[in-house]
Amino acid sequence: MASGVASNLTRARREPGAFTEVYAAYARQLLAFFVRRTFDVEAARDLTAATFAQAFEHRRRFRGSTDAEAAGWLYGIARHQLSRYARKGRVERKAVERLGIQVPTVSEDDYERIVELAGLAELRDRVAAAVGDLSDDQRDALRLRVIDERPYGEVARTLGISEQTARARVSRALRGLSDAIEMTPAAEVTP
Amino acid sequence: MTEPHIQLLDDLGAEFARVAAERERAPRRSRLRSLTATPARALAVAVSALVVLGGGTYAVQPTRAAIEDLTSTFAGWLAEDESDAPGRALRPEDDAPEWVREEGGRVIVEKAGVELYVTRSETENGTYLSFVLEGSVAVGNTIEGWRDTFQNRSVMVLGPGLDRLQDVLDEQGRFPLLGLAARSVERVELHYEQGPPVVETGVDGGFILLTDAWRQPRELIAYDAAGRELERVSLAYLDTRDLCDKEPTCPSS
Repeated sequence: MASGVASNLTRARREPGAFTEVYAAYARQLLAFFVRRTFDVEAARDLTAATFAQAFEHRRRFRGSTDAEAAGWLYGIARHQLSRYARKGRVERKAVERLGIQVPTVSEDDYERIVELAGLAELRDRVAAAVGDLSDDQRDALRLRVIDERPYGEVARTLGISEQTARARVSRALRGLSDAIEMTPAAEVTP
Repeated sequence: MTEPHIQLLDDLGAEFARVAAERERAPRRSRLRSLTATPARALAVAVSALVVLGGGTYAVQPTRAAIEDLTSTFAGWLAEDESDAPGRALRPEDDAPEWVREEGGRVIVEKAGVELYVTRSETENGTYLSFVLEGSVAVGNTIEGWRDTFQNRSVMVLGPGLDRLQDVLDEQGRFPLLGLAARSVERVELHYEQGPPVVETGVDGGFILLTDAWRQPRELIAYDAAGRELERVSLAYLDTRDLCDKEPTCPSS
């Protein structure tokens, strides 16, 4: 558990410089968190910046007293950012822009290290294994819907099944993949 | 096992350290001026074509002569009569930005978790009055500038409160519209092109109207305690319906 993060977050209300300790405690974890979920290093970088920018602007709203509460608060912002990104296909940058944060570029070396940090190679293996474990029916439905981006009606016609069945197969396939790639909370919260 | 060194995290951390240090060193006046010099640009971050400063650009002529204009709301405070200050002093639980707190800001009005702050500061150009719409966006001017703007005005729309970073609109598809009112104003009504208006009574120096983003506002009307109409302000410029394309909380229009 990160030591003193909650107290630094509280202190940052009056002493903004204390926020740098919060950043130092969670920047790597959050970057990895986003890379594992977006498979996109640059999007993960932007989401990390957006999360810390929003946390900085809203630091007065943190009401917890423990590091676990601080982590929960920070990851709550992160999940919200991720949800918006998934829904809208773009990173919410308002807080970053308001603060005037210059988001750095991703160098080649950084790219490789971030992939290593996030364990993407391992994750890809796990996804591949999880896809291999799916039934043929589920794998076909998943490919048509997620990779080929076909509407459910077309998935159903192609596979000769009802639309309801197509939805069910895709849903079950995604749930199986989700179980395979989901990281444990401890792995994400513990530095 | 040592973790890989990632330069971009160092660089991003340096950026946050810089921003935090700037807040601590508190060159807030210059920062504030830079923001207020381009309020429309700053506010356009979330809501396009929303902000207009100064009365002449959108106010229509008062339908009745205002008994007291907006200057009356702030005149005593500006003359350093603290007993005549608008609103209330900040409390520890208020979510005011640190620079507002340090400049002795006050809360003019609060509603639904949104607060409209005012600060008074001394600069090389004289006393500066700023109305804070959210953490880093303020509308400011010198006293002389505000006096010109406030003259013969009963109400003035400042713009939207954009402190809802996670959700620009609330669960009913509304955003807070912040404004100032003369002491003679007791009620304001925001009328849309269609449908019922939003009515705020008990107005005391300012107002926060939870405004439907999916409906086109037409005008704001201010009334005194006797129900007399004091002023009408056109809101035809305030078209936020495109926000509903991006937010899921708007009811079907």
